[in-house]
Order: sequence, then C-alpha cells, then structure tokens
Amino acid sequence: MGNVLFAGLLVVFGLAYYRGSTEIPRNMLEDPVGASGFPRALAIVITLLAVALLAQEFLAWRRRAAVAQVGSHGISRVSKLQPTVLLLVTLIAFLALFDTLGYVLAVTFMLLAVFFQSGMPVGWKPVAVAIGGAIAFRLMFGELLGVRLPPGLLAFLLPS
Amino acid sequence: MDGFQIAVAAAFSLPVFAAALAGVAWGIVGGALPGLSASITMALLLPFTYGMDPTVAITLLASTYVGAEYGGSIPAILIRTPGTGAAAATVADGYAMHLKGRGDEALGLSLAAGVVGGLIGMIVLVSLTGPLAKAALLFTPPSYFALAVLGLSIVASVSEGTVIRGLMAACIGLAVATIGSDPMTAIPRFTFDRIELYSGVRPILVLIGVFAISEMLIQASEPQWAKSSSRMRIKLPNLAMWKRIWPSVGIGSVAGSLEGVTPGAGGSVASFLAYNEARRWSRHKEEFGHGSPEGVAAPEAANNAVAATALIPTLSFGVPGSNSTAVLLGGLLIHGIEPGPMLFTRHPDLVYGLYGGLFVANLAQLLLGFLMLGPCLWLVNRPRPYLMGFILALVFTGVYTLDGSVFDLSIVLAGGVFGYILRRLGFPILPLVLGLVLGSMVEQNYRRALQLSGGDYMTFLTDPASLILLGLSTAIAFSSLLAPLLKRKAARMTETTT
Repeated sequence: MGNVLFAGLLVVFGLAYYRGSTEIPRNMLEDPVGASGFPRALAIVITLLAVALLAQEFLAWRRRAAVAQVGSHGISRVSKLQPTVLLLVTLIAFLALFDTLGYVLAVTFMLLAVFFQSGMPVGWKPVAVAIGGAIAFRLMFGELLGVRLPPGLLAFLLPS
Repeated sequence: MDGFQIAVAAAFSLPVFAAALAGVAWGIVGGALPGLSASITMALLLPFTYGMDPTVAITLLASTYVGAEYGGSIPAILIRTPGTGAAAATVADGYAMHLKGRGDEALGLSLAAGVVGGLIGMIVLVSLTGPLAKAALLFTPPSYFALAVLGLSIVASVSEGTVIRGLMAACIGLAVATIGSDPMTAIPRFTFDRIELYSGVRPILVLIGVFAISEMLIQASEPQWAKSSSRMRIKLPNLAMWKRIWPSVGIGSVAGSLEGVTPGAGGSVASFLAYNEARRWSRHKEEFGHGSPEGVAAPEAANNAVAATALIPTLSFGVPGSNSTAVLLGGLLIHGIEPGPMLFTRHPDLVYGLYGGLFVANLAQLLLGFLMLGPCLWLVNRPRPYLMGFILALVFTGVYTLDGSVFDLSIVLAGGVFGYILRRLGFPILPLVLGLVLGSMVEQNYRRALQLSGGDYMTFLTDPASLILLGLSTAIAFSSLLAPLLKRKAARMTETTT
C-alpha cells in the first residue's frame, strides 16, 4: 500500500511541479525555450511516469493483496521503523538547537541520543565518549582548521 | 609538457602523493566498515575537498574509491559481512578460507589481486579515455543532450527496481537541478522566495544526504554486525599460488574493465561476473564456495579494475556510470570543472595528474593494506552506535564547514530522508544522483540545441549522432519495460505445457 501511496504522491508532485513551472516569470531576452521550457517538459514526463507507476503499483498491490495474509507483517514493519523515526527526530532536534546550544553541546546531545537509541547501555562510558568526541571535533574543526562553529551556551568558555 | 611528464610530475609532487596515500588509507577504513560503501566513504570527504587544489582533491576522491574496494573485502573475509557491495562475491570463498585458518592468505590474495586488477584497469583507463574524449569533441548540443539522456536511461534500466522507477528517480534528480536561478537568464525558479535557494541546491549536499544520511537511517534498524578476531595478518601469495590464480586475476581484470565502462554496472556486477567466469574456467571448480583462492582473486581483481575504468565515461563524456563516479563528478563540479571532452584541452594537468595519483594509489595500496589492517579491525570491533554517532557528527560538521549554514544541514537531512524513502520503496538511487549532477548539462544542451535550430524540435532527429543515441535510449527503455512481461508470458507458457 505504501508504494501505491508514494506513486500517488509522485503524481501530485508532477502536477505541482508543472504548476510551478507555469509561474516562472518570462524575460524579454530569453531563448525560444525560456527559463520555464525545460521544467515544463520535465513536469509532463514526471506526471506521465508517475501515472504509469501508480497503475503498475496498484496492479501489483491487488495481486499481492489476493495472496498475502494480513498478520504480524504490519507490526514487524512498525517495530523496524521505530529506531529510524527516533534517529530522524534526534537529527531534526539537533539542527533546530544547533545555533542555540552551540556546537559542543548540540553534538554531545546528538551523540548521546544516537548511542542510547541504538541500544547502548546507560553508563558513564558513552557519556564520556560523547563529551570527549564533541570536544575533539570542536578542537579539530574549530582550532585546527579554523572553522567558525556556533559557541551557543558555552560562549563564555571560549576566548573572545 | 606532455601527458606522461605531467603524470610523473604529479605522482612525485608531495600534495598529490599525500592525497593518494590518504585517500587509499581512508578508503580502506571506510570500505572495511559494513554499511559504508565506496560512494559514502567518498561523499564524507567531499566537504573537505573544497579548499584543495582540484588535482589533489580529485586524486583524494579517486584514491578513496581504490582503497574502499580493497577495504570491503576485510569484513567479507573475516566476519562474512561485505564492507561494500562489490565485496559480496568475495564472501563465499574468503570466509570459507578464514574458517579453515587461511584468513591471512585470503586477505593477501584480495590485496595482491586488487593491486594487479587496479593496474590493469589503469592501463585501460589511460588508453581509452583520451581517444573517446576526442570522439566526443565532435558532439553537437543535440547529441550531447541525447548522450546524457542515453546515460540516464541505461542507468535507470540496469539499476535495481523497475525501469519506470529508475526513470522516475532520474527525472526527480533533474527536477531538483532546476531549482535556483536559470543558468541563461538568471530568473529564479522554484526558490520559494528563499535567498539560500537562489544559487540552486548544490549537488554535494544531496549526494551526502542520499548516500550517508539515508544509510545511517537504514543502519538504525539493522542488527549489530559480528565481531572479528583483533589479531590478524596478511600473507601475500607466493609464486606457486600466483601460478594458480593468474588466470582468475586476468578474468577479473577483463570483467572489471568491461563493466567499469558500462554505465550502471559497477563493481558488484563485475565481481559476480568475474567469480562465475573464474569458476567456469578453473581446474578446481569443486573448490569454489569452499575456500577457493581463485574465488577470492577474481572478484577482487574485478572490483579494483572497475575503480579505474569507471572513470572512463566520467572523464571522456562527463557521464558517470556508478555512485562512486557520480560523487567524483560532484567533486569536479565543486571546483567549477566540467568533465567531458574539453577536460583534456582545458585541464590536462588535472587529467594526467589524476592518472599519476591513481598509479601511486594502486601501488600504495600494497603497503597501506598491511598498515591499515589493525586500525580497521579495531574499528570494526567498536560498538556500532559509536560509529553511527561519529559518522553523523562528521557529516554535519563537514557540511557546516562549507558555508556555516544550518540551511545546508537541513538540505542534507532532507536529502537523507528522501533517499531513505526511495531505497525502502525499491527505487534506485543512482539515477536520482545522475539526474542531479547532469541536470545542468542536460538543460543547457537542450536549450542550446533549440536556440541554434530556432526552436525546431526536429533538430534532435536530424542530427545523426543525436538520432542514434536517442534511438538507443528508446530501445533500452522499451526492452527493459517489455522484458518482465515477456518473461512472465514465457513462464506461463512453460506452466501450461508441463
């Protein structure tokens, strides 16, 4: 079913992309194709392919539905998705807090979250590895390579 | 200076020499870590190549590819888990040798066969790239457009999944490439009034996202791989062993050279092809699958030959044929260098310098293979959460060093999520990446062709080269579409007759 839904989304994407291509402003100096010509042609190809894919996936889904048994399949899929979703949430939070917390704190929290989500037992070792790792990265990129990394909440610790 | 002199000068210059060594060492480490393919290992390096001299940067990336192909065989032999897709064919006999207490020999075979395969691939690369690039100079804008379409359709057809999925992935890549200011009139397109998007979505960000981040998202739900013995040595083959394996090394090198120049085939296809052919021609067929030295030598020679010959279509036509060469192309684009026939006339120092660097890389592999084994075993035995966390930290920090922009990090993450969804739903990634890196070339040649013909679309059919290439693209796409239908029909007919 996921494949059918995704194919449906691609049809919507094709149509939205076409709509977007029609809104590209024209220019007096443009060539016969113009800035919108290529995207418009591409949008048509995408939509046609997406419709073909939708039909293909729908037929395949019906064929599968006829023989498949609805059982624990869905549950195992959900449990397989859980660590991925957790990691994704961690990464979104990491980006959202990157500037506010600063590089060292954001990386430390990201590392800790990844360690514990991936089944690492809670203890001092992963905490030490995360803090040490973040400081080592900060020293390597910030001091050695001279990259400006956001100081965030620890700005008071850094030389001005 | 002629090409040979440039290559020799580059090989002996400290920056290129150091880049070749560093690339091989990093490649071996990346290849040895299950889950990090050659392309991901290369993509992780991309942000750090920004400030480098182009020849040094490209040598670093290409040498990483060389190292990763060998590195992939280490876990394949020791823990039955191929580090890269191309090392999958090494698992059967490499691991069987290890179980028989001949793991050191298997590692030595992999290393030696890889070096020979890589050097043979280098000879093919040097002999073919120049002439092909000269032929490509005759291409007109319509034929260049048709060539890119052919490259995309071959890759879409031979990648995993159905051809429609491959073509769709390619089109999505092309669509992403249209974001930003129009290359000819500077009119903003699909920028959603975000100033960060006016210069377009940099392919490097999407490459890192779809390769590295999507792999981490997949790895999050995978079980921990087995641990390896932390004490292991490498035993290079002696003369008697060489007498036995040289036909397999030859077969592997030829298979790798052929597959390398074929877009979409890559190291995995080459190594399995080499394995099957080596078994077919071997005097010890019965040993295959139970610890045959030829079963290790053939695929390893093949995947190292691919690391060199895959550069042929990338350098001569600007059309990469594999994930790794797509990353390499991304590395060229970072430095504003457009690969293709003009590369030889505009940047001969880069092409011949790369040859010199690759030569050093292939030879250095022999020494670095020994030196890097210990660190690789140490890393493979680390808890996977540590590796995942530090790879993510490295990816995001590396990208942040480019422009200091959190928006860039968001694009990387978005690319990763999109790559994850595509991979989970069985869409191939390579056409997407190719569409993205070739997007600008496709559109510019499409528009140039129509500009020259005054808007007449028949120009794509009146240009002989374009007609042939577009005809081939159509034939390939249709044959891939029809192949499953014909197979199903044949199966049904067999069923009814039995």
